[in-house]
Amino acid sequence: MKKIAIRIASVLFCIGVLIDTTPESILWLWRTKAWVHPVLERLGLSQGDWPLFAPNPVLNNGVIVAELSDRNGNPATWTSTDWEKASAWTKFYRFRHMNYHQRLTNTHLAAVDFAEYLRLAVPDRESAVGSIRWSQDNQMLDPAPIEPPVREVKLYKYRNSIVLEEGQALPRLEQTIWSTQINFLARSDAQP
Amino acid sequence: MKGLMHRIVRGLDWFLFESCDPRVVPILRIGFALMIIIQALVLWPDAGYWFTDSGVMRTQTAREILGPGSWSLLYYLPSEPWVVQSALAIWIVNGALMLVGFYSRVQAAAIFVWLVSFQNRNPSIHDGEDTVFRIFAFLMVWLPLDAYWSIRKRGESLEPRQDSKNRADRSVGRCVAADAWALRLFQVQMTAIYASTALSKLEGSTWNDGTAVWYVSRMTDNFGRWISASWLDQPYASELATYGTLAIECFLPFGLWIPRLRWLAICLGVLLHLGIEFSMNLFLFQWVMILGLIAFVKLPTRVCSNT
Repeated sequence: MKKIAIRIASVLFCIGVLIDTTPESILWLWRTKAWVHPVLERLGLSQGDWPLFAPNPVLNNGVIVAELSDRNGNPATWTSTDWEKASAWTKFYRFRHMNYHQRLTNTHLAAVDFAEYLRLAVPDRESAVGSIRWSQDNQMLDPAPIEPPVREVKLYKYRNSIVLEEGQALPRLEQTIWSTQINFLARSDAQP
Repeated sequence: MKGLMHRIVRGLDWFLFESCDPRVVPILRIGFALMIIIQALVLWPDAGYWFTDSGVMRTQTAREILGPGSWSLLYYLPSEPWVVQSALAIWIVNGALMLVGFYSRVQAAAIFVWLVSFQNRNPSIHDGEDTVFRIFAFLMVWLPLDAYWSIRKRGESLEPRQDSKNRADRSVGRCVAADAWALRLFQVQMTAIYASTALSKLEGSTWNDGTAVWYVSRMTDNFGRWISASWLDQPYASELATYGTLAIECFLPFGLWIPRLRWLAICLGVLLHLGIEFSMNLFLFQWVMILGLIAFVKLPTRVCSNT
């Protein structure tokens, strides 16, 4: 009896894994995948396909930036770690942070929660830097200290991508031209 | 028809119960337990930040992102940092007990529940590596984890087993090939990962024109651990790395299953993962994949003069 149970469970596991890991581009399996994946998810065994740097690598360099304004309307900026400049050890023990900053653009709901977290956490748990202000007569003023509570947070991803002209050979590292694109992610306002 | 069914069942029985080497199981257990402890220790300082409602993601959001099929113990426990740290402490104890081989299958089941719970509580910080850990934890439950090198079986050595001695080995509490059937599921899981990624890469233009690894080297947040991106500035270096990676990943799903090619496939797989480990910062992904390749190993049989 035990042997029969093992046989059946093993065959089911193998079929489930093979269907669930099939690349999404294989369209004829789409319906079966759509049925199998939720079943595996309930069992805690879902995985989906494995597009490791595939079909093409996607550059995801950059930082998360939050523009804040405090109770007096003074502006400030929170910036995530610049992972390009972090040490290998920092990238190891803070790997979850790096992963989070890179994946925050994928899910709007997660970005909304993070904007809300920053609104409540600055300046006690997260530090932000006051930004330059402009007076009514257009004079530059020094940054003012942040006075909680923070009234508004706008969250952006500053994504660094490579500028390549059509037909151009791939440039050497020091000749690579980078451009920064700013993508709006989410906003959080204090309730009136 | 009956004869065909009989042959299929016979083949399946050979595949599951007669052809795996249970002596690699303690290596899997120890390697997995060490990595699972590291995972929990890295999460510890930020327990409240990642996994409570006062952190970066509310429980409700996690549930909305994952849909109704997801479950987590942390959905039902109080959303407080001390609760999450208590859960992590239990996770670490489970890992430590598995490391020394104390009711390791029970520990594996507990670790599986923790992994699902933490991964579903904040999906934004987890990736493919965590999926591998989760599936491995589930498969560990079905392996004879404490058969060797455990405090429950002190003094037990990795000696060869012959099928004819299976009954005798069982009678003295030793492990035989039939007990290690779940190693086959490890092997299927590893094969599925390599096949899936190889098929996906074959569709990509950069993997076909030899520039994919050049682009990977420009992922400056992750790349450049000990191998500089400038090493891939030469077109031939980028092409070699791109086509080499693709060739190995296409070869592994077949090579790992052909006995004559198995050692070559395992060595190439390990080399691939070490190459990625030296060039990129991807936490424990390469090490858990190397651990998975160990499931394919058959240790050489030692001839004992006193038997």
